[in-house]
This record gives sequence, C-alpha cells and structure tokens, in this order.
Amino acid sequence: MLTISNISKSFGSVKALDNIDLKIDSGEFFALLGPSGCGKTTLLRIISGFEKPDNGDVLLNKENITHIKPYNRPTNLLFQSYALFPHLTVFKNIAYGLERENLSKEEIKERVDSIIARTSLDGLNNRKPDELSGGQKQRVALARCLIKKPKILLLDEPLSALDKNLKEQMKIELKKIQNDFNITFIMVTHDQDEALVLADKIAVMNHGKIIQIDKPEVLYSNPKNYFVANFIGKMNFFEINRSGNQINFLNGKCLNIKTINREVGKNLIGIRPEDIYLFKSSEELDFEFSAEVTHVGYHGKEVELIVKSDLSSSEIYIKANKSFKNIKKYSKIACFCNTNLFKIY
Amino acid sequence: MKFGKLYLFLIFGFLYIPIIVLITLSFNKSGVPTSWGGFSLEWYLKLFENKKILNALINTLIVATISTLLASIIGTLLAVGIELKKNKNHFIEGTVFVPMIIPDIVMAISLLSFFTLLQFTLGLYSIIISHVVFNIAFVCAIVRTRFNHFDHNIIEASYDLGAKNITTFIKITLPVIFPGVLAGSLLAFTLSIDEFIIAFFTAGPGSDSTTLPMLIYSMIRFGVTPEINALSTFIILFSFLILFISQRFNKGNVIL
Repeated sequence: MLTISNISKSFGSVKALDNIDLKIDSGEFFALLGPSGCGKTTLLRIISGFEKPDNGDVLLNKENITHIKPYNRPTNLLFQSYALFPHLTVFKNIAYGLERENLSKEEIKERVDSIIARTSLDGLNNRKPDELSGGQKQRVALARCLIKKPKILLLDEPLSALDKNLKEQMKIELKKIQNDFNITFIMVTHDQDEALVLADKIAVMNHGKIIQIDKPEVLYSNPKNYFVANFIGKMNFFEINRSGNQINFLNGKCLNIKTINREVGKNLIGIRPEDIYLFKSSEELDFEFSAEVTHVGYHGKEVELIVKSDLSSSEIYIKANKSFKNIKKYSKIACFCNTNLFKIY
Repeated sequence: MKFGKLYLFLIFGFLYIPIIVLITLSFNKSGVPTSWGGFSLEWYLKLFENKKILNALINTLIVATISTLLASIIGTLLAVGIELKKNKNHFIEGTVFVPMIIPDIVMAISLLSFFTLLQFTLGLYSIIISHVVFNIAFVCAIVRTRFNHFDHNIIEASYDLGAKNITTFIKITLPVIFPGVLAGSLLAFTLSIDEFIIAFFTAGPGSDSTTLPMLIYSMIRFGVTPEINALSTFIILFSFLILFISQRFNKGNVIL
C-alpha cells in the first residue's frame, strides 16, 4: 500500500501541491485526474523520486521512501513521450533495466523474450525506436517498465500521444496488462473519460489539492462540488435562490427540498443530460419545465439536444433516444426530471 | 531561373577559382605563377625533403591532436552541464561563447600576458593550452545543438530503470550526443591546424614550437613558392575529408 501523507511542494511562489494525503491499495488502478497545472504530474514525479517534496512523506508498505533515489525505488515511470533510448534496439531498450541488476545474459534474454511475447512485440527485437509505430513504441515503453517487476507502475498521460482508434485499443490492453501482472498502476490524466474507463479509484485534483477521491461510478453520480461536477462528464446547471428548504428558480418556479445542509443564498442545481427526459415515463419524474430546441446533434445511437429554457440563463444539454433525431429546431418541448437527482452546489 | 543559375556559378567561381589556381600551380614545373612550364610533381617531392616543413607539420599535428582531445572532453562536459541543469544559468550560457566571438588578436595578447604573469615558459605547451581555450567554446557550442535533437526524458528514464549517474552518462547521454562530440572535435582539429595569430603570440623562441601556419608565414615573406602551393593542396584535401566525415556524422545539423 502506498501512503502519501502531508505532501507539499512549491516551485518558486507557485504552490504545486498543498498538503496532499492519499492512500492507494496494492493492485489498484488509481487515476490522478485534473486540469493541466493542477499538480498531478508533480505528485507523480514525487512518487517516482524525481522531485523531492518540501515536506511530507511517501510510504510504501510502511517503509519511508521519500528520500530514496529513483534508481533505487521499486517504482517505474511510463513517460508521456515514451522516452525510448533512440540508439538502442527494442531488445536492448527492454533489457536495459535488467542489465543494471547484473543478471546473467541468459536470464536477461529469457525474461526479455517472455515480456516481448506478453506485450505482443514479437519480431521487432532488432528495430530501433524510430522504426516503430506509436502503439508499438508505447508497448516497448511498457515492457521496459514491467520487466523490472515494479511494485508500482506510474503512467504519465499514457494515451495522450495515440490516435483515437489506438487509444480505445490501448485502454483495453492497459487494463488487461494491469490485471495480468497484478501491479499497482497510478495514472495521471486530464481526460476524464480515460480515468472513468480505466481506474478503480480516481482522485480529482485542482490547484494542488485533492478535491474528491472515489470510485468512478460514485464520482460520476455524486460529485462533491461544482468543480468535480463540471469536470467529470457533462452537467447542466440551473441558478437558484434558496431560503430555508425552499428553492426559487429564475422563472419563479418554487420547489421544496428535504435536505438543508448548505448555507442559504445563491446556489446552483446540477442535473446530468441523461437524467432529463422528454416524456413523462414514470411517476418519479416529478419536475417539469418547457424549453425550445436550439440545436440537434445526431450521434448515431443517441441524439444530443441543446435547449433554451427560462429556468436557466445558460443552454441545457439533453441526451435523448435516437427517435428524437427528426425533432425540429425552435420546436417547443416539455422536459421532465426527478428532483431526487438534483445536486445542489 | 537562368539568372539564378548564373548567380550561383559566379558565387562558386568566386569561392573556388583561387583554390583551383593554387592547386594547378602546385603542379607547375616552371615554379613561377605567370607561366606554365608543364606538369610536374617536383614540388611535392621537394616538400617531403624539407625538414623545416616536416618539423612544423609534426608540431602542428601535436598541438591540434592534444588540444582537440582536451577541448572535446572539457567542452562536452560543459555542454552537458549547461543543458541538463534544471535552472538555466544565463551568465554561464553567455560567457561560454566569448572565446568564439572575441577577436583572435585580443585573445592572443591576453593569453601572452597571462603566461608572462605566471612566468610560464613559452613553447608547444603554451600553444596547446591556448588552443584548448578557444576550442572548448566551439566544441561546447556544437555539442549543445545536439541537445535539441532528442527527448531529455531518456536520461530520467535511465535513472528510473536503475542506472546511476555515470552509467546513464556512458550508456545513454554520451552515445546520443556523440555525433555532436565528433563534429565538434573535427571542427576543433581543423581550427587548431590553421590557427596562426594565437600560436604566433604564445609560441616560444626557436623552431621547436613553430607550427605550420607560422612557418608558411615566414616563408611567404620571400614570395609564394610552389612548395607552399603543394603543401596547401594537401591541407585543402585534408580539410575536405574532415568536412565530409563531420557532415556524415552530424546529419541535419549546421556546422558553425
């Protein structure tokens, strides 16, 4: 188990990490998710040993590794740019880490051959990195790390350099490799989709702080605050005024809510596009508003509608069934949702 | 298009006709530049019999070889230090170039004053040291250009895979920048071979520390002899050879 306690790091006057506490279980696929500049890469570099924290500790299975140099750490880093050695062949790139451990030639060859087979790199032994495709480069970089049998594999934006098709394929492969090798993976990404698909647990970061740590499904269905709600997936926001348990919408509509745990005043209500319905299919849809269609986007299996309503000053997104693809622009529609799914921020 | 080609011819003519004339004259039997007395290798034979010239050639090769070796090591390490330092030091980056820009005559005078101050006996050693000084700057500049041609993360990747500093330098950094090191040392070698002013100022008395350019200068006072033409032809061929080698190893890089 990796424990990060009380880590802070500043670069000049910029506070990159502000009192980070984090626990990552062995064998977990963990994602650090946040916009660029949120400190996620700095945290990754501290775990790998390339940066020293100003204060705080990194513990791996109770052992303090804060001051252990990168070459002595049981962690390996998959670089965003892959960082393959350009003058060495695929075989030599992968063998590099083992050669540093003074193993016999036979053992190195055996282990390299086995990892080459497991990462489908057969037949590429003698190629140089610039003779490989993007996906092959990534697999070589991955094999080069995995052969070291690290306790933790750190992945810095592992999919960002791949094109869309390859990305989907690598997502499946990464997940499979993580399962096969049973290594803790810590991935840094700014792509919420990658994090949701791959990770067992996600830490959402912003401005050097961890905002929320949860399983993907909890993060999506129950974002803790406006930032997380806005960052993970799409969320519609209605401006409201609150007094007691009464909510007043912009158009004067009132609603009573049960839980009052936030301060009174201006607030926002958030609702996911897929939680807004265009017909009243069940009694649970107890909230209704009218809107005008401003845009119809056809996405194959579903239709994205952008509508305008006096409920909100901004546009409202709705994910609808593909049968709505012939809906006309400027037509008036009725929308329904379940007030239990309203998130108040 | 036609004008462009003509222009190109003129430029190449301007650059190379004097050299072609020199090479031609080195085969001229008559020995005077104004008349062609037939083809002959006489001057080349005389050249190899001339002890003074051979001695100066040996001195020049000693100076060029040792100063290139030293400057290549120091200049490469300097370049690595400058390029891989996390917080760039603009003062050092700027001052490294000074020996390249500063006029040779100023360098020569300052080195001579420096040696005199230290009461250093002038000789081949002082020429070597002086050549190391400016060659460091050239080697460093060329090696530094190599650092724009690869992903610096490979150095961290090497650490991450269990290699310490020295292993990383020998196994990763040096092989990757080696074309630059080679190009830099070849340039340093050619610069050192035909360097005159600094060698002239920092050489000791007598022929023990006379280099080839210094000898040619002293010979030329009595007119350009065909022997010098023959010697120059050798030097030209040698320079072209080095140029080709360095371009082969430093593809895509402009040599200063």
